[in-house]
Amino acid sequence: MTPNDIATSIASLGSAEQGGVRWSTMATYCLCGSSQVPDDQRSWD
Amino acid sequence: MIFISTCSQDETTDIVMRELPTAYVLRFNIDKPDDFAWDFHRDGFRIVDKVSDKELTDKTLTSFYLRKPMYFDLIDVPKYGCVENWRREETDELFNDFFRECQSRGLVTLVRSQNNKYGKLRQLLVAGKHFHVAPWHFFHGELPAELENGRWVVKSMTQTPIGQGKVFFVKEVDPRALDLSYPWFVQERIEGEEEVTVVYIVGKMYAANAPRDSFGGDDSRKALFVNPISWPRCELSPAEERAIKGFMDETGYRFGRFDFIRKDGELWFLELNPNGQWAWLDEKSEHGLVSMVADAIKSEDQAHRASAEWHGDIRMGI
Repeated sequence: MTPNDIATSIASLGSAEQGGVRWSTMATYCLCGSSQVPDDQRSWD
Repeated sequence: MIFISTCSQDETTDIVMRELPTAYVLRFNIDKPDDFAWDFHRDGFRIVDKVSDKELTDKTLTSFYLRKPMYFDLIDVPKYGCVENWRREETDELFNDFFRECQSRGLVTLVRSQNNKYGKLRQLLVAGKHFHVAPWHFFHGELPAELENGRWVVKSMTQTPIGQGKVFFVKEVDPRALDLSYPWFVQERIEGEEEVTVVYIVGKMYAANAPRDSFGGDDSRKALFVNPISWPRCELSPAEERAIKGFMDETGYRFGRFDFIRKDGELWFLELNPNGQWAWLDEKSEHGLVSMVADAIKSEDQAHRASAEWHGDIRMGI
């Protein structure tokens, strides 16, 4: 198994209604992050 | 004036700002540079929110609250770069350097840059002195013998995008099936009754819990997508509070949100998130968490304003 075999497709998750949509968006990006996040902030997730 | 550096869709900042004096806060969204103008020079600086006409200068800054920026519009950076990414990197670096300068002048609140930072490995090493910690391995190339048996979950150390529109959740795996050409972080699966999260705010604590079986998996974040669960406030024992304070004192963090699993009444450490999302625990500001954080920011800001060294004359380049 590679990391790709273990990871979950965002599209497969769907999204909850009401407040869940916003927090799920945040959660997605908490998980995805960005290659541009500076190193000294990367640990602050 | 309090300067908050974050991104435009940071819900936690939206919520905490409700309890801060609006006229006294300038929020900088690092993903929306077109909304702002700035000029840092040898005699000071000026940052303008062009939408609200609010202005912050070296004469009016009293505190810098750094939120973790997240970029919703990821840039597809080609091998030799692109001007969009160059703009973002230049902006990032300027405001990170501004943050570090404010920290050196004692003007940051809650979150500080950690030269001696604690990633997942170091957190687990320290946590073993203060909490129960399930066996864990970071490994590559050879399968540790301990992983031949038992139940294990795989985690990721970083937030690096994995591609193909996928995210890396905590997931139970058979370690024997893992491709050993990749670096892996696995931990023994904890069979606990509930997940407990604790927000630590400069010595004060706010704890909340949710039953493990409400997540639909091993990662509580997954529930946010399909069926948001509630996290009612809960109590910690004095011994648990001492352990949390001991961990924070040892690592040097002043703010953060812990994740634990409670098993047979005892806390098992998962991780500390030093500057992530926490306001979903009190989205309507009715349980006291948002007030605790806002009060801490205001209290530290008050202390900054009372400092004779900085009051009314915060100058750059001195």
